Amino acid sequence: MRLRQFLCGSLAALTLGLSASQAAAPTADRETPARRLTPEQYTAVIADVFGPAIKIGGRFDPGFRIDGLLEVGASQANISPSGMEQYDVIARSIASQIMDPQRRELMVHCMPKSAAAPDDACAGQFLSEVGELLFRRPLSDRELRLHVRSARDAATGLKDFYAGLGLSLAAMLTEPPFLFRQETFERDPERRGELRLDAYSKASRLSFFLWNSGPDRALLVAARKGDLDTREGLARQVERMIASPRLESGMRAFFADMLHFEDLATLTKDIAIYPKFSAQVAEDAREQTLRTIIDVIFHARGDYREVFTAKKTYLTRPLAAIYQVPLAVRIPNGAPEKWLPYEFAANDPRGGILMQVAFVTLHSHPGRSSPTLRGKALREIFLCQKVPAPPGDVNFTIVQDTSNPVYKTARERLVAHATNPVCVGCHKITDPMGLALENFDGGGSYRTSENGVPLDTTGELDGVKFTNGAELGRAVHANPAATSCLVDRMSAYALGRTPARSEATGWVAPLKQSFAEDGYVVPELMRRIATSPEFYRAAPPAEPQREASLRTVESEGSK
Amino acid sequence: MSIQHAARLSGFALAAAITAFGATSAQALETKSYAIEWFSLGSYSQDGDCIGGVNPPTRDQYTKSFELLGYTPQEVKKLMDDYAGEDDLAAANARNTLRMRGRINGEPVNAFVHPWAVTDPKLKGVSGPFSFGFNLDGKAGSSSFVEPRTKEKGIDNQLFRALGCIEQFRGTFNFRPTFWDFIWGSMKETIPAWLMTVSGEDLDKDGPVTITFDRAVEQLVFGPGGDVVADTTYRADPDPRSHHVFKGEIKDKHLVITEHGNLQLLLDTLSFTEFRLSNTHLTMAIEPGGRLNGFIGGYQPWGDIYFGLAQGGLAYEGMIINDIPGVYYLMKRYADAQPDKSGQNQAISAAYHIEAVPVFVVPADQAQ
Repeated sequence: MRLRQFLCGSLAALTLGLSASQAAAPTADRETPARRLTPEQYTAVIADVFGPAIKIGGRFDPGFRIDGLLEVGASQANISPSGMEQYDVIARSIASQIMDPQRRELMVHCMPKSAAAPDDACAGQFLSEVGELLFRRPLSDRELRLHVRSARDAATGLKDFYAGLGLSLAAMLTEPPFLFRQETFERDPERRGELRLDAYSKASRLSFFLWNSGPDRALLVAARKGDLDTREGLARQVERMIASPRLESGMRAFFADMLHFEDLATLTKDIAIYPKFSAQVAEDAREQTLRTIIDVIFHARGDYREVFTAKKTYLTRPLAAIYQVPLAVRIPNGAPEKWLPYEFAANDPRGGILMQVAFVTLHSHPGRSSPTLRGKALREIFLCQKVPAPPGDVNFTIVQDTSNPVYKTARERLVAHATNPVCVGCHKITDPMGLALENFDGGGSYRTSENGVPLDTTGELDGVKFTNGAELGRAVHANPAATSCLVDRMSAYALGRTPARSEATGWVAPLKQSFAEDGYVVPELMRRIATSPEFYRAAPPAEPQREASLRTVESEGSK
Repeated sequence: MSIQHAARLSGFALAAAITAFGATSAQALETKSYAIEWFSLGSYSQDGDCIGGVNPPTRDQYTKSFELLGYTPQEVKKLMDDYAGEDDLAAANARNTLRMRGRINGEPVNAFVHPWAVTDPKLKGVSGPFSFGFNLDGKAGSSSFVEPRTKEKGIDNQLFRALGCIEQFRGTFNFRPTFWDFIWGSMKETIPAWLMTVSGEDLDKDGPVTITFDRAVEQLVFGPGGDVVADTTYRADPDPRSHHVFKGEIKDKHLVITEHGNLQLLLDTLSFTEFRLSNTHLTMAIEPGGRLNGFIGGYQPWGDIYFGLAQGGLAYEGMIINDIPGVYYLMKRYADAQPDKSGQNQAISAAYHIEAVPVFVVPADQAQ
């Protein structure tokens, strides 16, 4: 009990002390709102610094979505008291794994004079090394002194060098410079009166954008040497990072955010209606869509628009069961499911991510499909168009009654529902696309009828008519808003905020033009963003932020 | 044609292999496969079908058994009290006494291994007129039943007659017997799945088909609700012992075997080691949605059944079978086929209720 009290007291004191010191020791002219690390970023940084074998248990505070992106919301997210407790628990667990007698000699690159006594030199070396990677910049002298002192005090009290060092490390893992991506600006020598990120903040922004993790040592060295402040030096680092297989992690993180895939972790279905759907299926569905996207845009360096029509995908046995296709996998009973490439036949009506389990199940209700939710998601996620929220007093009885003897299909129910003039405007925006996906029930399985009535999957998007989901995919493929939206989203994701109006016209619009010229190759778009000076500049201070890159969709019925 | 059928037949590299698998000719055949998700004795229990009620519970059987061995009522009471008591050592001794209640040359022997060393407790069998099953011998003798739904006479299901007055074996088509809920519930998650593949020119029409049974490499896959997940892919175990092909037909939305050969499916080495039938019959309704529901039957070596039950020993006897040596005598009494030199029948007619869900079956060597 005394030991625990000692540890708790030391950790709290150290954490609070450093939090205050952090605010008191700015080294540059201006700071911007810090972005809280996402769970994936936290995990990636720990794996990068200490290796993938380190287990991370515990729950993170949920994210906060702004303008369609968690990454934008991350600058508004704080840490709840229970979230802080979780960070503390996770930090202690990580530190104890690193200081485990079986592992610590690999992790701590110096030998203390005695394992039962403090050693400031060795502690300082370790904390300095890992601190630079965790804080994405060198520790200040004050920070390092505080941590070494903490390790010394704890090691003295506990008569254990490694326990003391672990305590100091755990404290570091609960401090704002680690948990938040704090960016620091400096005067831009090339643009009088304007600010740009300092070198370490540049490294951090670049690394989280391209790799969804903190800077590696090479990038930190480049920052220290000033390479990132030159076009050539920056281009070299971007080139290196774009060429790295770790770019896939960055792309995955972006698309998982853009597609709202964090919601799949809590997606539930009525198992009486959709007996095949499980948490494992939801997890596999997320992975399937990400693999499909990555295959098109990363491995094939293909045209982004092909994700809406791609016949090639990847499946596990549980997913194959939902798609009702055979998948012969050689795995032992009880072993994790294995991914295999799969290609839908040319005459198969399925293809493209809009008809994959992730999209059609995520944008459905627990016990029924929803053309409205699917249409809304398509407009908002892929076309960056805002669909107005329904009024608060809408009567959904007819839409929800899937056993209605008169209105047997979703189309019939929606038509009946939309006789209400309050509803008709919005449903005209969403339903024509969503109804094209009615071949997929709320559990993701293909069907041709509902309650015995053949499905009518005709629809229309921005003047383009189609008869089924495959043609809808082609319509989205051909819609200029799809590629424009991707650039809007990716630029906002990279900045961590919605671009200001002047940035939208002066930076994002040319990016859209070059994206088209580059054949809609996403890594090229990422390269252009990462090498553009605008990516590293401060938001125009006097200019109000744009509400969003969304434009509200209006139909004649809503006017 | 549904997308499911289309996917089974075209567009996928394995389709040709799947189609050919289990087929008897090179012509294009439609193929559908199934995994058996439910398996139980075909019971049709009715009030009054056991004269004087069902067989007594386990404790009464133990009492009777030890009285036959010459134990005094006080000794039997102490044995029963120890067996159910909280004194671990006394309970262990009691369990051993119960287990070793067989006698060979006056020496105690394991009653489950040597059921013939226990005096026949003369458990009763079903005397009611109805049972599910098949007319295996083509006769309608006095020992046969009437099929409750079709009213067909001459139904041979002596296994139901033998076991149907034991409480945990009682059930109907829609009310599953407790024993099978327990035993199938235990086995189905650990044994490789049993597979059926049906091939024919057009499986939506009446006509001849080929019915193939295989054991899967994989165990059954269950959904979050505990049901077997339809449309999962299974690999057929290349072991020829579990590969059997029957001629059959589809008629009036029913799948039936028309040439009645032998069937063997390997099971769980820790319980029933194999399932063997001769003169195999099958009739399964093809339900909307593609599931199969019906019966498989034939003559089964009753020794297989007995030792499958006996391996559960005292645990089974305490929970689900009130007198295991008594079951030995029941099956020996009602066995109705394959007599040995002494005239004792070694096989017993049986019918099992099975349900199957549509799945994909591929040869094991085609997996990646």
